[in-house]
Amino acid sequence: MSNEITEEIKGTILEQIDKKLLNQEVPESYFEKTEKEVFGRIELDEKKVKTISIPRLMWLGIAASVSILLGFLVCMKNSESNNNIFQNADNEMLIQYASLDMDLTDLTYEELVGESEFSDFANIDDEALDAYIEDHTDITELEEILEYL
Amino acid sequence: MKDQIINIKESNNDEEILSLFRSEKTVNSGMKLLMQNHRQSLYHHIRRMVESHEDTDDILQNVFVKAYKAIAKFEGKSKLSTWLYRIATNETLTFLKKQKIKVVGSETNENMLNQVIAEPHIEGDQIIELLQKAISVLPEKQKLVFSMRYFDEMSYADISQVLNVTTGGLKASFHHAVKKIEVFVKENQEL
Repeated sequence: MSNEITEEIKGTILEQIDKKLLNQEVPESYFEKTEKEVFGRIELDEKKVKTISIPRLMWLGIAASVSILLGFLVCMKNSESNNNIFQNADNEMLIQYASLDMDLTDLTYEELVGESEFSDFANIDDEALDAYIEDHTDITELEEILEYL
Repeated sequence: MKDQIINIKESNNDEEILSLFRSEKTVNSGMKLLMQNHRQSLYHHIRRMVESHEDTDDILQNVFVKAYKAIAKFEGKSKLSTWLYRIATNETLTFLKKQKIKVVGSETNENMLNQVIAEPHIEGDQIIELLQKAISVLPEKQKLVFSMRYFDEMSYADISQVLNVTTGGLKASFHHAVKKIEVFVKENQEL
């Protein structure tokens, strides 16, 4: 025992104790099993690392490739369906026009765009107006019409 | 002078072990030498903290496996034995924490007292039995400090590296432990 420790326990019961009795060596046979177990565990851990890491990397690679492929397919599908919407819309319009059996080149602006508020009056010719005046002899009514025009 | 010789011997052993670990071919020999050199002291160190040989053996195995895995990171700033003591202490404290969840408080100490007497390789001399009992009821920190200082004769500087406690704190802990043991032995000798 070092002098320093002897000094620290001086005058206590510990000073009287024979440390040889306390520091008895554990029989070596105790450690035979320990040593085997330790090497066994190390070997097992190393095998696990080897056997797990390779398939794990493989699976990670496969999973990454599959997810990239799926992402790509989803993008493709989306853009395709967007095109279809426009295509379908165009087709529908064409079918609608075809079913009306109309020559699109002959359609007036109003027919294509829809009738405007003044389209009726704009298309009235002078003869129609005279006929209308003849039918409607009430001058006040005619004045009202002219005023309106 | 004697301490110096022991230190030189130990550092030579450390160097030998570490050099064996550097080559893949000699890793197992390095591990074997590490275990041979340190198993007795580590076993005692752990055994003074836990109840049974089986638990001590389990912890000791964990210590060696962890040391094997981490030895590449060992920087040589301390002695190999100090580093191993540190792993052993942490492993033991982790084990005791888990045990405390299972068994509450003084029941553990009671078990420990019985276990101390039941162990076949511990000398049945009355004073030694009393000392073992007295140590077993010390608080964990004092138990650790006392065992490393008294049994393993470690310097306060080395214990400080193991436990991360200042040397002043360690001296106080050791002093308190000695006083408590003294009181325990005296009280129980009279009975």
